[in-house]
Amino acid sequence: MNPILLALALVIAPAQARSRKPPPPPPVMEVAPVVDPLATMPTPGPAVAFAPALPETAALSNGVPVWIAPSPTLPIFTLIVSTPRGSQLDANGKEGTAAMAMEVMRRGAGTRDSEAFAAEVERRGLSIGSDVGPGGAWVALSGPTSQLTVGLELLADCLLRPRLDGKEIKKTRELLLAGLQQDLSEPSFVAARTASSLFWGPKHPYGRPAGGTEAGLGKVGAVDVRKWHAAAWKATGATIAVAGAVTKAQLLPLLEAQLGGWALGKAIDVPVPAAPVHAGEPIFVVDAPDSAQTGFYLAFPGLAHGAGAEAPTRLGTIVLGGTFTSRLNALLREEKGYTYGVRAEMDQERAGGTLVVRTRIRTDVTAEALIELNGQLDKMRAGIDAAELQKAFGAARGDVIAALESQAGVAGTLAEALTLGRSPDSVATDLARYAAVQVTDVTAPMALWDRNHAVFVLVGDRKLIEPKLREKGFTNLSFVTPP
Amino acid sequence: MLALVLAATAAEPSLPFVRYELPNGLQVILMEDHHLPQVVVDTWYRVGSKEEAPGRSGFAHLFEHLMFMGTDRLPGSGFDRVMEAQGGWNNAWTMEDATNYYDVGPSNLLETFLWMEADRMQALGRAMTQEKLDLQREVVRNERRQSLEDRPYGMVEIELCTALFPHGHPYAHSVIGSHEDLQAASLEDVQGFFASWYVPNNASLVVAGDFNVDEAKRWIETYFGGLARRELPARPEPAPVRAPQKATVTITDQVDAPQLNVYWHSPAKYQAGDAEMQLVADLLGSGESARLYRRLVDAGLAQEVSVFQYGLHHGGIFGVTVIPMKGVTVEELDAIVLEELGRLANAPPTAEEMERVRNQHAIATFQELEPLQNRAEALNRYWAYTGSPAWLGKDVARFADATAPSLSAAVAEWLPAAKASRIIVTPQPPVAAEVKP
Repeated sequence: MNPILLALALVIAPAQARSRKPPPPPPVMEVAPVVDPLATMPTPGPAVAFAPALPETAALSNGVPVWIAPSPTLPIFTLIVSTPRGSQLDANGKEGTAAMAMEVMRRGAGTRDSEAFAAEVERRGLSIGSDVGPGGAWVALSGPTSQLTVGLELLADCLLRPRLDGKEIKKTRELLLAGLQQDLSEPSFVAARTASSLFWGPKHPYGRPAGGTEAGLGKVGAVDVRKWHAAAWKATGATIAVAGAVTKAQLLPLLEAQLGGWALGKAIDVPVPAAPVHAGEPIFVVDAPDSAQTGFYLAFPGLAHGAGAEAPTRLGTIVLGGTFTSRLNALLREEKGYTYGVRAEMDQERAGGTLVVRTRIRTDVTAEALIELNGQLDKMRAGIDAAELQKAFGAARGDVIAALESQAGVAGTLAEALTLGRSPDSVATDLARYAAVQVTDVTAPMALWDRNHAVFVLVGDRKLIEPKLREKGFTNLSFVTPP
Repeated sequence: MLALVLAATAAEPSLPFVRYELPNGLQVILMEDHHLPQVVVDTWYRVGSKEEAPGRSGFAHLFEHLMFMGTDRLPGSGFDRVMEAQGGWNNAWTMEDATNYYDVGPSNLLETFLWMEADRMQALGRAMTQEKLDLQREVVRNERRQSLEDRPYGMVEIELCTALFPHGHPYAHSVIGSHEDLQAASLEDVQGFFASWYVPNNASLVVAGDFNVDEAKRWIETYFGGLARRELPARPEPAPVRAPQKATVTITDQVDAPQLNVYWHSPAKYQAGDAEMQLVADLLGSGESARLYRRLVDAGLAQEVSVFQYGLHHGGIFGVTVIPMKGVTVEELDAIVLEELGRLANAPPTAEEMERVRNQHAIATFQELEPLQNRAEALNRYWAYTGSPAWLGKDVARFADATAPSLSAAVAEWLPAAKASRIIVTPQPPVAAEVKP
């Protein structure tokens, strides 16, 4: 009620109706309280269980295992053939042999020269890509399911009948060398390459750049390329992973026709030396004049694929630098404003691995950032808390699920499990392992983040960063050039 | 999951969705997919660098960073902390025409995502401080250093804007902005920008993934329904531009090889000629059987070549980038690029070439739309540019309908030699520090 009208009513009421009883109080208006729906953040509902589908498994007559994840929703597929032999077969002094061979395998195969092969692949909407690392090489075929038969013929040509002719090798060498020169203008590339070489040693299979060196690529000839292809691409140890709108019944006869006769060949065992032990290394600096930022690449002793404590180490690494609110990103980006971002991650190979921190830091605060980084690394050895563990588990689970969103991701996940000799339920196993990690499990592996046993590489403008580094007590500096 | 089939099957491709509008003007688009236990909330604001005030280049992008700096209800880094604590993650991007925010995570986080987006849509402005602005300004300037200044050839992106667009045109400055303008941004700018553009009637909200539509509608009504509609400022309406502003710009960079960049004005996004120009770009530069790849890279004249069509609201940009092999000049490459364009303008591509570019484009469309977040973004993009989220079918059809003669006609119309603008990067040796033992 209007307050003025209410007052008037009270004043005149006695005159209108005398009563011994006081007049009743005016009615109280029932005004619903204003509830701000945004006042309180809702609590998330219960987590939704997730049981990843198992791939179907089979083998070709020569024993090559095939895993298939049928997904009929889209009329496309991705197929990955892998071999466990990669750049570690490169002869010393001829770094880049594998990289060159993998490129040239797609430049003319079977009855088609380079131009005809590319034209046939591309006009059908297919693509054939390849990659190589120290311990393996991969060829991926993807495209419309309607072109599966032709695609497999082209893939088999590429794997078993590449022409590897001298003209294409020469052309590819020129392109790889030019690309390498471009990459060497990129501080992050230089930092990673330099750190790998310093951490593992320049002749170690994991220390030599899989993409090759200028000197190595310059020496690789047709004979080397053909020899590498013959050694690497045998059916022994090869695997096939497929995802997409294909069924086992449809796919296997086609695969058998193309790759069932693939010769096994002799297994090659290339021993991988243990990682050198580092203690009290200097900070290695690569001069990058006029850089606006300093590239950081810090390498710590890590874990091989399949090593114990993989799950707690991964979760601890996520806490350090695997998400936006990770310790390092929160400090160096969000609190200090030193960087656009910082990451910590695990780099794993079959016989060893590294834990890595990489970032790009504003040139003028390079030394300050290094001090802050060291502080955070030292804190990791005290372990993590329950909230951090929960966050890391969520991120790890999210990564696993994200990989299953595309056929290429599914095929890639299966291919990795296959090449590592894991069982078909590897995705579910990984999720269960992450879920089982307790806070206390993470403490011991975090001892790996010991900067006394690490290799630190900074790529930046020496004339600007060196004085400040020395002023802040970083006097043990070693100036190097990238390999 | 995506109900999309190859154009060759003649079926109508579609991304099934439910769309409606709240009384305050917020567009809502819901797309269910129970394939994985994930949801995506994708919020598209129709404001980008083209709405920036003079002297405030880079502001829309800087503001994007500030959207993560907390509100009174969820202060500090709460937006990221809460999300990541439950297995979610987020990101955002800014371009000339729009700013897009997306949250990804387990299905049970959907209500939290919606609350957080509504909370900052309503209340970010009043929680903004000078300290937050200063901090994110530094982060953005670091992003500029990392993404452009220290990246080989990175500064071409900056030069491109003024080479093509006249002073005062909304595309005449870069999305990242200049250091000077970023440093000039004030707290008042931030609060004004938020009040002007971050309103429900300037946004569209896509929810995609593993959720219940009725439940999502209820939450959206609860959290966004009370946000106030506000009148939007006038947007720039530039006159069409077809001629470049600068014929040639030469810059230096610490790189091993020079780089030739040739640009033209081209059709606007999703407008007539845009599909043809995208197919022209593929025909010239995509794959090892592309014309310019064969003429330049396969012939040993260039290290790499790339060709693109980038459609925007007020027009597009068509570009050719080539890095020569040692001993080859950019002038030689330039002549070959123009020669190939002339050939294409005068004679339609072959049937085999058309088959290649059409098939490659169809497959790329499928692959691009596999991740849930990409599908959510596509629905928002279609809505923002065409007024209909159901535009996927038309998008696919325009590529199927493009003909060999229509590609030639598009080249003749849009890519004459006289209307090209060139940015040439020449290598500059760095000045090394005086090396001490």
